[in-house]
Amino acid sequence: MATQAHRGNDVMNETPPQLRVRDLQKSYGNNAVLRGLNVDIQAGEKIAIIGPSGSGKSTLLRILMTLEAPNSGDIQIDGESIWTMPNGDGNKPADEAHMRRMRSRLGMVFQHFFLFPHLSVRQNLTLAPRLVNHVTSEIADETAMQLLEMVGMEAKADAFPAQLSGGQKQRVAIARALAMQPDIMLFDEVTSALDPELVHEVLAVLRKLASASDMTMLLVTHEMNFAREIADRVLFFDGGVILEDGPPEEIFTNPTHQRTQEFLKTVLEA
Amino acid sequence: MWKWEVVWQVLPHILSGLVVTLEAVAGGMVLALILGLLWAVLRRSKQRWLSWSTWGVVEFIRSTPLLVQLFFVYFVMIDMVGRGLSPLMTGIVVLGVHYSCYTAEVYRAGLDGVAKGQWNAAKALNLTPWQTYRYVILPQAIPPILPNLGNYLIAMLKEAPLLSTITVLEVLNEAKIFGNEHYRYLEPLTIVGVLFIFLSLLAGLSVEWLRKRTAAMTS
Repeated sequence: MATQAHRGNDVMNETPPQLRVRDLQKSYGNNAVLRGLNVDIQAGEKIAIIGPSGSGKSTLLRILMTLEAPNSGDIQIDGESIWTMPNGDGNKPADEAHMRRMRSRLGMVFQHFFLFPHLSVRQNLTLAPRLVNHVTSEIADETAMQLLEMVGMEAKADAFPAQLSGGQKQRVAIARALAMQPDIMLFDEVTSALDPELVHEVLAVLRKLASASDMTMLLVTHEMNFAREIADRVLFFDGGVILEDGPPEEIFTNPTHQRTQEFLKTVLEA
Repeated sequence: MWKWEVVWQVLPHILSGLVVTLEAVAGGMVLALILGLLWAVLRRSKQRWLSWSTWGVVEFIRSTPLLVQLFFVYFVMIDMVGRGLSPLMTGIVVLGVHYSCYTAEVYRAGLDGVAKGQWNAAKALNLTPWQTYRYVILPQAIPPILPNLGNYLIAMLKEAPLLSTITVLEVLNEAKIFGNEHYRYLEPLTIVGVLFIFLSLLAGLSVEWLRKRTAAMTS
């Protein structure tokens, strides 16, 4: 209780965080995946989320993207709750319009790409901007080509997803999410489903993105060297809470908790 | 025995009946395709009362005979709501609603066949549920099930003569009326049978062609 109050006061004197997660709980049946998770993230931070599987990393991203509802807790973007909206003196569950407005701040890239197989690469990028942001076809096409160039996929604009390698699919998926111009990008183990020789091309795109853009980036990853290289801050998840939170140098060279040391030892040796 | 002059005499009647049959099947199929999709989507609703009541209605209609439904709507409901619908329109509505309960199952299989991640991707891109169905899910769900939907078109074609029981002048009814008037049933009924074999084969070949095409497209 005391630490909560302290944290609250602390935060009030600083700039409010772009993303604030408070006491987030999520369980599937009897299996508690998130057990009261708290974190504040400032705009533009590049955050690597590491930890053993089942520790709640992907679940946090899925709840942030509103793909799943938390059991309890609060998530705010710029001080506004995602899952609830003001109702007189109190709050009520958010309606669809509110959720869509909040969702428009976020973008997500998935482990298994989830490209739309019936659409060409270019159409994958232009569909949502046209339908959701009401961008004209010309402008959507133009933006799509710029983004495809950025991820090195402009030559494949008219190909279909089935004709692409895993690495190429993931680069297209990144461009597709960027086409919606989110403020916060969520990357959910985006290299885990790739053949080892294809991992580097996706990491290269992420590296470029991290250095060139002022977007907030949350990356759940098992690529420790990559996390260390591009992250401003590393969160170590264990058992549904954040066990360790700090700059990469600190977490990787001098972790406080035994659990972190053990985890890093296992993954770095593998 | 077989008389060709009877054939030439009855053929115009049967062909005009054939037009009515095809109208009934075409109208019924359009209705079955639209309503079936609606049921399938409603059954996936997160609102329990909506998905359950849809399931209930669909199961009820599937478990009662088409002929009973035809009679009930034509003789009971028409009297209740006034005689606004012609026999043909009544037939189209009953055929369409009845078969929509079968096409709903086909659509359901198609929707289930679309990878779960597609819904996640569409939501992450902030598409509305309607846009998700229209631009992401249905274009993937429908091509693989076109042959199965086509099979119900064939089934409906073969059940269309039931409409003769509610006075629709479709192909069988025309043949029967001719028979009653001329005391000749051999030629009229044979022609009707041959016509149905011909139409079923034609529809079957179209479905087979569709199956090959969609298999090539979706592989």
